[in-house]
Amino acid sequence: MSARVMWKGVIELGRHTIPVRLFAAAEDRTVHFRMLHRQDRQPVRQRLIHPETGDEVATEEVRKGAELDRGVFVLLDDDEITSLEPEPSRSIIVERVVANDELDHFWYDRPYYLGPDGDDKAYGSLVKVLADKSREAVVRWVMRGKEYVGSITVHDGRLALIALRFADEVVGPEEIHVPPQVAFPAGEVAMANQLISTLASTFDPDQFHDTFNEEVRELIEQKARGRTVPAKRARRKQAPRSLEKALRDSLAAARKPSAPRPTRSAKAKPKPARRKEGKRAA
Amino acid sequence: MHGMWSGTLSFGLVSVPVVLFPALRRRPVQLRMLAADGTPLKRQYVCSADGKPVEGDRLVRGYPVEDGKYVVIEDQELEALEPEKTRDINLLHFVDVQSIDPFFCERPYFLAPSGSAKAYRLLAKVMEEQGKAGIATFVMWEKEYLVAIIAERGLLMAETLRFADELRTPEQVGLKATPVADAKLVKAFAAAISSLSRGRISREELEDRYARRFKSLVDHKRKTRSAVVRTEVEENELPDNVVDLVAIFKERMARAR
Repeated sequence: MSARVMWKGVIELGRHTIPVRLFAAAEDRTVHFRMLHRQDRQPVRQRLIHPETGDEVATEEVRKGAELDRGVFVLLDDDEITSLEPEPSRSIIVERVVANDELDHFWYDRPYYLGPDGDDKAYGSLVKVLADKSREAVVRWVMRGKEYVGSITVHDGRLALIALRFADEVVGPEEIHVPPQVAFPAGEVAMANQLISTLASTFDPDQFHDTFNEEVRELIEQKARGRTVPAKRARRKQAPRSLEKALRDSLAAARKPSAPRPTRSAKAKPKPARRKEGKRAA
Repeated sequence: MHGMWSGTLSFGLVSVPVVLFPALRRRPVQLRMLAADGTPLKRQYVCSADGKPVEGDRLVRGYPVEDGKYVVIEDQELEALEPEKTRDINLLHFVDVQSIDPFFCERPYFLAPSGSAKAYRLLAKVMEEQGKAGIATFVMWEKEYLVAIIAERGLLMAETLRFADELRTPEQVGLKATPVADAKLVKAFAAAISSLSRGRISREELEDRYARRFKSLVDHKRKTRSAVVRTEVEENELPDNVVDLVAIFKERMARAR
């Protein structure tokens, strides 16, 4: 299977250029529903209405405004909005290079693969340099009328471009004031440390499955065949304990050799073959 | 708009009640849809069959099957699927924070302690000192999430991750084996890369330049008083997403003892 090329561009690294093709690396597998009118089971659509009159406002009569304050707007016309848009470009400009552990997890947004587009040597060389030096290249580019900031990294031996979030969108942990740390009893700290060490493993994403999504698909299929669905089960309740006692009991349980280490994969049912969906509703 | 998710972080037999807050702000460049007189417009659902308005409580989820028919799925049916998981982020795996591939990172949230912050702060402290992230799955808003709980500056963050089957491999998108590098180019690229490496990256370097142009246009129009409209907006008419969740989160953390 090969995916469609989404976009073509040229990485500009100083005075060097590396032509690339861009592919989406992530796909949405969630079941998407349509909202229906319960009475006749017909899909609903959205329309814009004036809150006072309740009358529908046609798209061409809608005005767009930037909110300055509650209820205070600056109106922008279509020409003004268009004037803000970036010039179309094929350039992916490397603005700076960082160590590949420098950007925190919350900056990363959407991953893409980059494939070579006519200059294999340049592509292979950039892979080698970034991998050998454990670096990421922070880039800017314009795609389909929108400006992006992103990071070029090496993933599975290929170049990847991960779109980053802009600074004004991210609330960094440094913005949050947390009261000074209280002193914990040494015993509690030691037990918490031991418990984490006991549960330490390597990150293995294949171990986790969206079993809920699979069950939703199964539910849809059963209902489509006219079957009834199971009744709601009750939620478990846990009695509160003291932190110290809970830690001690946890450690004792984790250390017991007979106690099976519960894992998600052990609980997960065998994965049913993924059915092809014809349509995917918004 | 979703309500706030609250649940329990389980660490062994230790339960930490938490509330989830987004770590992202609303984009500043969003435009509101207005009537000619400047009144913010409202969205309304109408039935596609008869064009009549449909209130929220008359809506139901449907999944399309053949010939324009839908399978109706009720809220209770989704809730019944995995009820024991919905309020529980059960930390059974701790991994090195640095080993989490950014390809998986989907969306960041903060966790605030709900009630006593003692267990929250102990967990944040030891996880941060060990450089470990807790990995778990949980259900929120009728969807299952894979999540990494990461401690930073005494805070617990929850980064939702993509499931492995939501990511394509290079082979699946049709990429061939990595082409061979050229020694001369490697040398030239390495030089270019070292000249572009300098200190740590700052927030200014990740600025949204479109947002800057947008703000300066809006500021200019505000100062020249061109096209500024005022309307009475009732407090309770504001959409949920105007609520400043970041401020509420800051408030909560400042009180966390």
